[in-house]
Amino acid sequence: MIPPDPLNSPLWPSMAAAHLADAPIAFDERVRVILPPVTEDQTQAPLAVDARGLLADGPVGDVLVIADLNPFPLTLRLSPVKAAPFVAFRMKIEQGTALRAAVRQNGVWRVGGAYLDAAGGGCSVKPATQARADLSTVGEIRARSWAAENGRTRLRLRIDHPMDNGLIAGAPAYFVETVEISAAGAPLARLTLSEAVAPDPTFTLLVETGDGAALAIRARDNNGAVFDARLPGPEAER
Amino acid sequence: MIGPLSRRAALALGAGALAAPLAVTTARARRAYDIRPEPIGDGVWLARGLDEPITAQNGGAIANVVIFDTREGAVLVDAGPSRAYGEALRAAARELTGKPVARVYLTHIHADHVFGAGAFTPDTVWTTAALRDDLAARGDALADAMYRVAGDWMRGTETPAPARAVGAETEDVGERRFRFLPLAGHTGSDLCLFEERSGLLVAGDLAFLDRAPTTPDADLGLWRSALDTLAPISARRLCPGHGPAEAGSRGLKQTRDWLDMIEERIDDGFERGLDVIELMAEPLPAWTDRLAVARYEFARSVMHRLPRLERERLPARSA
Repeated sequence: MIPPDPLNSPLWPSMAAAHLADAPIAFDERVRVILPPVTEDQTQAPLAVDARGLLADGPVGDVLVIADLNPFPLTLRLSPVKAAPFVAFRMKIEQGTALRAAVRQNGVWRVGGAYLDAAGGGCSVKPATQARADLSTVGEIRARSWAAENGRTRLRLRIDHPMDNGLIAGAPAYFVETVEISAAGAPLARLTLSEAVAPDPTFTLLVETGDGAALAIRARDNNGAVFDARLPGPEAER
Repeated sequence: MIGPLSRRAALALGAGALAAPLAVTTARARRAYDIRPEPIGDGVWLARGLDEPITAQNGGAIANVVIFDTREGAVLVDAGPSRAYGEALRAAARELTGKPVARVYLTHIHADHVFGAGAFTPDTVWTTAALRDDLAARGDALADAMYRVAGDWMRGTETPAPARAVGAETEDVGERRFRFLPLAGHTGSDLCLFEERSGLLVAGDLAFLDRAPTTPDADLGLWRSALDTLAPISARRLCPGHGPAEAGSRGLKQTRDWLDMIEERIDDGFERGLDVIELMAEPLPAWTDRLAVARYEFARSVMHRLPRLERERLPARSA
């Protein structure tokens, strides 16, 4: 039984069937999808998913981000092994769409969302970008960590990558598929990305390192290239 | 004031199959710009833009246009967002001056200022060489974006191709002398004009007043230098690109304060590890409450500036 969509999106039933069929679905306001007041750049639409409110009911599993009216609707999957159900990033938007997050908890998909209007605009609106010509910096990772609430570590990371989705003539699909954050060999968070994540994918995460240990980042793209980075924990950053 | 006669905007999303594009239907409301220039000097009028974002409701009529009467014809600074706006502007200028338009100066590339220029013969449209090149390079993409946002208001609009680049420091049109100040900072080329007879300084979007400045193509350092250049000019009146024209230099100061404020807040948010969405929600100083669309433009500026700080200032960590 698929509950009716508060956002009244025409594709909700098929999204639920395609991605959330393995467990009951409950809409839950504690799963927050936070959007900007305007889509400034359709190739870099920012969003934050914050489901920390669910932690009152115990630990959570995977977090899915779904954009109904996008060529690649399942935008991203966060497996918060030792991390908060929180992720902020930017994505490519084809048109106005419902954007939702589904969080697995106690055998239920808890779902929240918001509507992103793609036809925004102010003094100017950026055109769609062309395929990138210079690939010499692909895979370079920049990152920094901060001490966050409840002993967590706030991690911001940026991977230089064109994230070509294969829909632009002459530019085959070329994108980062996985990003794994670990400390002392133990995984903290795993991200599975689709072609819909914006070029130069940039993430904000809240991981649990406990002792402020050094963090390792490993990304892998669909060409099989592996990109590694290391950074000190927030204590050492000061 | 400028206001659309119709505010209906019935954009309806139709249901569609997964692979099919959704049908977007627009109500057949009659759309016309209602341009009512206000006198701001002897033979000088200001068609005020709305202090709003560009929307499908307002047709993009958010920027100021200045109209000068001269013996040789009307002189316009900027032309509005669309061909239909330009045509309405031409009619308004004719009514005010009894003459055709002799010259249209374009200040900078943004859509709300330039796309009305198509309603005028290219010979009369002048701007800087840099803006002419910029329009040729990315004007069509900007027009596409405007069609997406403003919809039917844009019908018939094409990228203007100004015939002449301002070369000399001044141009005389009839009894008026226009002094050119080719600057930059709000965009790559910002043309300001000082008209000597009226003492009016037309600052384009290097100055905003009581409406938050926009930064999609801004270079804050160049923008501040441009404000330094404008500050000592003893003008009788300052006309910003958005907001009211008035005596004094409040527009220059307020614009500088805004630029300093967004730079400080965004850079501070970056240093604290905030993401775009988190930084947008940060408090703004109380003085910005009286600026139209302050919160909206701050959010846009976060989207413009924070990704650049991430690229430049996050430490490289590749193993």
